[in-house]
Amino acid sequence: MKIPLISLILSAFGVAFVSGETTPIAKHVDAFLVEYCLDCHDADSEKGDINLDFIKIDWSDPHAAAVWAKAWEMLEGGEMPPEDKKQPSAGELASVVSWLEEELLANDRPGGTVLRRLSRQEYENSVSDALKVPFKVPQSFPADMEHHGFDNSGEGLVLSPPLMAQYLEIATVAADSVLPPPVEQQRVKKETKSIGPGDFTLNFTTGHEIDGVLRMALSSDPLARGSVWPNRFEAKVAGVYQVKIDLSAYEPGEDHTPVVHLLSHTSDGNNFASANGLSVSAEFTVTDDQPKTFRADVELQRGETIVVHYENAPLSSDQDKAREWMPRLAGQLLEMFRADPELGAAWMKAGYQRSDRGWSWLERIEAIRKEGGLDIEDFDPDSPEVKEFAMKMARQSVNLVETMSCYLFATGPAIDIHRMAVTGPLRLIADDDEETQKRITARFLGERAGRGDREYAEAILRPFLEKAFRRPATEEQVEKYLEIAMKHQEEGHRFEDGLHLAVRASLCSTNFLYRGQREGPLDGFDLASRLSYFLTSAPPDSTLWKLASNGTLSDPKVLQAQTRRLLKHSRVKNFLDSFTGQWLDLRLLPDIMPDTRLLNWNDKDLKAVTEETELFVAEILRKNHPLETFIDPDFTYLNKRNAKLYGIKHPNSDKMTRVDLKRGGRRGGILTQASVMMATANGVDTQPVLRGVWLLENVLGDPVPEPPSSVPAVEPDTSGAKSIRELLDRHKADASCAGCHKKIDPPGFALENFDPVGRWRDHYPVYKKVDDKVVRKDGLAVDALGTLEDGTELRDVTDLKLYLVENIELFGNCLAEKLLIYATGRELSFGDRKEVERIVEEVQEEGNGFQDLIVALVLSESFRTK
Amino acid sequence: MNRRHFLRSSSLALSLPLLESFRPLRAAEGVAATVSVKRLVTIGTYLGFHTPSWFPKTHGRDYEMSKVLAPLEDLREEFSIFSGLDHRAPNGHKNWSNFLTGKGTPGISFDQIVARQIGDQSRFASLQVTCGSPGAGQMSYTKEGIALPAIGRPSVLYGKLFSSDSDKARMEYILESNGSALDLVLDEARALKREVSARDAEKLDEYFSSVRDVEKKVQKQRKWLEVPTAKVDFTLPDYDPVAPDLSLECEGIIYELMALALETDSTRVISMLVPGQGQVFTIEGEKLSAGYHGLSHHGNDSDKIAEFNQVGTEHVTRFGGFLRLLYEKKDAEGQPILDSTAVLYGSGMGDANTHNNSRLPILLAGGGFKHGAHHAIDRDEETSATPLLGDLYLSIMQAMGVEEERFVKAKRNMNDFVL
Repeated sequence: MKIPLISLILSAFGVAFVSGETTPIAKHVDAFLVEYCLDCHDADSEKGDINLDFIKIDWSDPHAAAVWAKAWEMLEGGEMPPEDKKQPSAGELASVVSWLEEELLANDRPGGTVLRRLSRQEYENSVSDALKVPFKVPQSFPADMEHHGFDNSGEGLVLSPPLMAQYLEIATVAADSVLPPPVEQQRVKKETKSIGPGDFTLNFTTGHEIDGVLRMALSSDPLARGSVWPNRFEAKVAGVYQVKIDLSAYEPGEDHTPVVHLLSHTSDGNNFASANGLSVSAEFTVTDDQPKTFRADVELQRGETIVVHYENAPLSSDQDKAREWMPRLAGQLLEMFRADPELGAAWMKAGYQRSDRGWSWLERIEAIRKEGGLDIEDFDPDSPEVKEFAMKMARQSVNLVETMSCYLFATGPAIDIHRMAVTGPLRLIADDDEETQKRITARFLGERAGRGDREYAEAILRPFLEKAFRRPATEEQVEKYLEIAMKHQEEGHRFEDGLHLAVRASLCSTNFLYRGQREGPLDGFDLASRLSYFLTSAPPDSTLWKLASNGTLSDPKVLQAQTRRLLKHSRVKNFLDSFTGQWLDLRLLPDIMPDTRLLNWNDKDLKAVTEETELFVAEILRKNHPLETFIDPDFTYLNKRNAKLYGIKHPNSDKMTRVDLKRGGRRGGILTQASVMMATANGVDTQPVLRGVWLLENVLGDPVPEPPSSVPAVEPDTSGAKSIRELLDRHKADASCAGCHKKIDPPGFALENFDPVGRWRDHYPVYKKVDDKVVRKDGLAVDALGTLEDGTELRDVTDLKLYLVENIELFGNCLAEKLLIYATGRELSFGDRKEVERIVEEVQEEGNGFQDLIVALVLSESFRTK
Repeated sequence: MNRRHFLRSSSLALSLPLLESFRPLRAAEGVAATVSVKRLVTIGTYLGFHTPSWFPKTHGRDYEMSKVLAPLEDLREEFSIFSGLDHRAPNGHKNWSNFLTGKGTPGISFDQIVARQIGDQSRFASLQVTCGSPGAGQMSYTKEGIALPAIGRPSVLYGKLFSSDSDKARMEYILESNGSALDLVLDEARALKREVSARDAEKLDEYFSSVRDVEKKVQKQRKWLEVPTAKVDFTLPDYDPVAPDLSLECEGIIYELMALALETDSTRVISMLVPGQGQVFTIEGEKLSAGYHGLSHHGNDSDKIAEFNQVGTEHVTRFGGFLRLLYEKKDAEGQPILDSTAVLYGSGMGDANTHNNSRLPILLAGGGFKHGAHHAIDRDEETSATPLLGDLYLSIMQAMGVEEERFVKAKRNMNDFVL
């Protein structure tokens, strides 16, 4: 037998993922191929891109393994030869199937992951862990490409020149974070800044300049709705600044004593930041109606300014407690009406018109008042009509508050700022940023800061390199990095600069950027890395490191315990986000904008439907629920938003809560969740074919090939005249389409009751224009009927759920393969898939728990082989 | 190194007397046979304009200047106005960014398509700026659909453009020492390549070719560092006007810095987002009656529209100042920088009152294009010949030598209008 050179090279380095052997095709198999297969699958016809016209199988070609595995699958499943072609006898078929299976098992072995570059998230976490500082890649960092359905596969993780340029650039930023360049101290002279009433930032109606003062009447929490700050002052350096501010109370009323807070806030920070979240530098009680000077020494960090906040103003636009703010606001409005019935009568007459807000609304009311002729005698602020009116106005929330505050500027209670002066810095204080930096640097350099010798450098670099490279550093490696650091110092740079250079280099090294370098079974350290990146998207922690070092991690008991430990770790959120986001396509959701004719959709709705699925999958994992739970659970997570989509009664709150469901119903499980229904539609209409293909790929584990490019896609008839089924039936009449569509269409149709945002529907909508308004009407009835290939009749999604629960191994295999692809970063080999089948069967017998499945996969040969 | 001020030397070469007595700035003249645009500036106002007050009532060359564009009267031969253009893309605040991306979903923006092609001709491939805090707005997006952050602090922008000697020394030091870091990791990678399987070795070739590419890039960066930073006559105010109510003041300074960036050839692609939040502006000593965002939802109330237009006029006035600067500043050939700079001005918001993103206010200035007219495009006509805003982008790109066949839904050009 002639062995190709390549396989000799491969075998010299241990087990390769394919044997590298060449297998001559057995005589009886060859005869079978000639008789039943080659008419369509030879080099000339190559139907479905499959060519089986060989006299031997060259296992060194990864493509060959895939082709013969496909052939095995088709023969074993009875899908080939096609019904209308000559059929082999049962005996002929069995002997060919078993020959192929044996050869595939021997040659297409578990393993074969190509070098894996760190993904964006893995890179971020790896830099953070190596340097022990929180680290974020810049926004402009390139995203990873999806391959085999996930963005962490070896083949998909390409290293491109722009990415390498980013790595190099970021290496400096990262090294700076522990070893910053020396800073020149800036000298700032003490000065006094005089701030008049016109020199404050105003947003909405936070203040009003009148009679030479700046008047404030609101205590709303977001700064932009309740506070003012000087617009041309910010601390140039961290220090103590003296504030003098002249304040007076304006018509505070008998039982109200205004309190003013000075807060500190970054001058170009978020204008909608919460005042309650800022530290209070000073508190002044303003009792006098004549200006009084208040003084305070306040500490400001560099770039901060002084916010003036009327802490206890009666009026605010905060919708703090879910249902209390509306009656409170209405009550305050009625209070105004009692004090000024004419205002009430005028307001009643004015009502609310679109875009009424602040001054413009008040002016409209005042104009009505001026016209006169109002019936003030009969105006009773305590009558039901007026009360109802006040509640109706309260619905305008912010717009109403702004209008009321304009009114209060004339009547009080309010406070007046006459002038303000800031002098400073009186003295310097520790700059928060600089202090934090000092601590980080001290931690990186360890106890012996001040020394600059080689031994000291080694004490710092060796543990860093091991953390960065995720395995013990060889003497040669340490030597190289030490060399570059020390040489740099000899050339006249600081000791820290030498380390800085070594850190920069290590973060661009193949040892940092790539994992899975050694062939064959994973050693302890590579196993620790694969496990850790799988379940936490981060490098191994100290426990895994220890177990890898003492060689016990490969012990199945230890490995099992470690897997269960990581599944409880807070970082498992990374796995849940990343795996679920990609498997169930939740990552597509932000890009889908539902048709506004269907419903109004906003970011909070998006968050609700996404979180439902995330919390749902997290619970299945946390509680080790059986896999059937994915399909037919007795719970889900809802807030008012997705509850409304589902037509389920729920408290009027944005908080997600666990809700009990009946099993077997229209709601519950990934086949019914709004997130999945959205991800498998386009926001406008649904297409059973797309959902069917998606189900086969992601739930049933029986993916179909891409459609031939010559066939146009079936597009729904938006006029509503023809049903999608009519259109598809015509499509299916073509024999070349029918093969796949009898697999695709039935499960796809079973989901037709879910509209593009996952609401239940019995009819398709049609939109008609009536008096310039688009009105939705019921169109054709939804017809979700279908028959699966094995003859199972489906009336709607509930039958599909039942079918999947009864045949849970289909879903189990699908999910297990997805998990293994995600964990190993490779397309699965024949041997891998056989491993999966065995594991799924075993786990099913043991209760089918989701955690148990993950543990069993981690223990498998497939997971533990490169 | 002789830190000769190349900006000065180039400005010595220009013939100064030309500047003064032109009213309008420049008479209408024939257009050069071939338009060659070297720079692109895109400017978008987040809240847009009251378009009935922005679009001229008449069209053609003798159009009557609209109310809000009145501050540009003396510049009318320097720009073209387009009404009826948009991308046929989704509506809403969130979709404002389709102004430069052409679609509702994230994707590369017009300015970044250009920057990818011509970015390596200057120190900064592109600059993104805004005035103070950008609020919710985003304008420039990478190929991957990631929004690029914009600089809104004048002192930071100034520092970036005209970095101090110590900043440059640090950059030079990092680039130089990176060389030895790359030598080390290449060594390691070569050793690794000898140990791994053939497939992995192939995978490592990505690494080798990427590092080689980066080494070339480092050479280029070092060359830019040798070019002395232009010394410019510009004094920043002693405070950064980043407070929201000072954003108009900030806008003026950012425009000046943008002109300096182009004059010193620090970059050839700039995008500027003119932000709009709830701030209450003071215009000519008078506080407006409501916040800027509130005014944009004017509900067709004439008083609010008048105030909204006051803010719009302030924006346009500053924009006019920017165009005049680009006219006064000359390139190496002594020609106005404006003549080789395409300046797109407008908004992703067609009507802020209803959050409608169609019929965008669009103005194209400079670039040597044929100007002086208001082109009213009949959007309702919806034939295949009805141009989209993307067609205008395609014309600009063609004039810049950036070969793109289509821009989202647009696949023709508007050469008939501007050449």
